[in-house]
Amino acid sequence: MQDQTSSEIEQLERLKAGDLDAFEQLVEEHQDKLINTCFRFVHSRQDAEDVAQEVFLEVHQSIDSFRGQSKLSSWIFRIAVTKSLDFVRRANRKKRSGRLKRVLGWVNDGEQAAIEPEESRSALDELADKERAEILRGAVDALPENQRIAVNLHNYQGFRYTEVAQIMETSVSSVESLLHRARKNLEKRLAHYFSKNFDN
Amino acid sequence: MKNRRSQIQKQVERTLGCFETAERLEPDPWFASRVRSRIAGREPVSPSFRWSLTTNGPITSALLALMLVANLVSVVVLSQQRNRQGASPKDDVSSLALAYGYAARETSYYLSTD
Repeated sequence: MQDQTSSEIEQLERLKAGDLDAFEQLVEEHQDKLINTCFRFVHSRQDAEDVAQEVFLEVHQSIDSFRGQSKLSSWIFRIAVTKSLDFVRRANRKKRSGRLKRVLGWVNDGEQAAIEPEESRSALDELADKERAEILRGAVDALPENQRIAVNLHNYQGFRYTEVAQIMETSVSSVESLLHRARKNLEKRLAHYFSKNFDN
Repeated sequence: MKNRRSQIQKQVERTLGCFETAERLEPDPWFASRVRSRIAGREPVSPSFRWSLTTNGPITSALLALMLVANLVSVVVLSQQRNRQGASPKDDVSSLALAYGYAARETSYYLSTD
């Protein structure tokens, strides 16, 4: 066991014994951060809640296989990241087939609009925080997968480097390096975005 | 040119500062209950739970009483069936004839019933 307090060990024992009250307590403890972690990948409330529900069901089903080599929360968030990425991959496959349909002329104009909504642009100085958050979201989504996971967990959810390292099953120095590269990539992408819009 | 670059840099910094102000979801208040009911719905009854039902005090007494009654009823029913099977048709006819005030005439009776 690593970094487990006595209350965590007791909670784990109750969970392994199939105690549903202990399980509900675990859900209440992590639901906020977990749903928001999923949301950062899937970008829809409904999908985020569905994925989070699947995560908790998986935790309940596999709790016996949890050996306690990391913190319970790290294990749960690792499952959340894996499930969210699976969801995004499935959605992207669907989107690709939608694009193919459009190219082949199998969808009408209304469906085209649903597949790729037109982005609204406004003057740079009038950008509201919400719009900025959307632009940032787009830039984060374009990052390589590992950098995206690290940014989601550290910058959005506020996990410390050590916690991110545990969730991603890597070293703290790797996390630092991932976040540094992610920051550089984001700066580059955002600068490109704003330079394009600055000219307009 | 320098002014343009610094403007863009300013926008980049401001946008990177949006991590903290990004929208956060408030979980549905029934989320935990929904997860719990989904788990309870698909969970098979464990052997230990089934055993705990039978070792529960009042349930055990009721089960024992039920078994005792069932046993007594089956003993009574079986003994009645045996009694019926053990009595010959001749005895039945004689007792019936006596009850109606006739002497048993077995040959003619059996002939008439065949």
